[in-house]
Amino acid sequence: MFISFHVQTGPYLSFRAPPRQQYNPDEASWFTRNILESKLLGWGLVAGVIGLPFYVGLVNALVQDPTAAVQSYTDLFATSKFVSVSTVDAIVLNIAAASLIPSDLKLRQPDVDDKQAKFIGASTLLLPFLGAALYCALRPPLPSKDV
Amino acid sequence: MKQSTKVIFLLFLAYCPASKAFLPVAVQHAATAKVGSVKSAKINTSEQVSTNVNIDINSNIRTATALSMAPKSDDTLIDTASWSFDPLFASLWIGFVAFAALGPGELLAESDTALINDYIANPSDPGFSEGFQLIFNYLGIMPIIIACTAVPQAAQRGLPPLPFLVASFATGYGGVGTYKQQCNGLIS
Repeated sequence: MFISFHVQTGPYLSFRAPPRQQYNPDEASWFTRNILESKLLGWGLVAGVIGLPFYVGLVNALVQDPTAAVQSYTDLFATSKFVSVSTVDAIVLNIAAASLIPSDLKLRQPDVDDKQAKFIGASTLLLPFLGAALYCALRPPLPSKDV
Repeated sequence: MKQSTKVIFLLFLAYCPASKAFLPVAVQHAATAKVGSVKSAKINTSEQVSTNVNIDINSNIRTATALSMAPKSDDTLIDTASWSFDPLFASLWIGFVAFAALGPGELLAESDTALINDYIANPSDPGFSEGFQLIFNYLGIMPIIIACTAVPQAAQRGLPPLPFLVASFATGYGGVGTYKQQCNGLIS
């Protein structure tokens, strides 16, 4: 039950081979080119992040009684390990995504400044979940074979 | 120390991935540069090159600074490494595991099982905090975002990203069906 997301992605990100500095289109898999690079997926992620608060009723609950909505969550966080671990997992995954974004951006635009790439990565933390989803939707495409 | 022993030691410093864990990068660069000079000495037997081969292991650290500035080709040392250690992600990982062990709540509590059962029984309205419902659902989105950013930059050596990312999605949220669908598309 508590096999959470970062328990499994953490070892990979900690001990992976040094990320590639240049992108070779010939090495890209079908899944990377057609799924992970898809703008449809990127905007779908954005739509999901924006739509979920409405779907689960959080917006409605906050409008009706914001204090009760916050209190019910903090009570669960304080008493349930499932809730507290999931919450921290979400925070950690946001930080991990923000840390991956600068190298991803440099792969797409090698001439981009290091500071600028890090700034863009860090800025996604200002809007948790939505910032990283927006990056996926708006990021420049990977270099193609004909470039 | 015999010349052959020096060469073996320098080869270890230069190319053994494990040496990255406890040696400064500059020392590894120096070792690579020295190995390069040994290789060239085997081809060119002039006296000047032979002098360069007579290296002192203890001088590696002293010469590291100068050498690390010179050889651009030493970038291949990093490019060909099959693994590296990222302290940021490792500290995030350790911190997360520590919180999971020491944080609030009781491990495998019945109330947690009831939460999950409620969610499975009625995903659209499980009856607990809407705030947590939102976070729980977002945990199904974040692995996709991580995959979108981590997979294109993954080198084609060392740990493969997909088993870790797919497993994180499948076991945590997506279920076995999603895992199989992704595996069919991902394994190239």
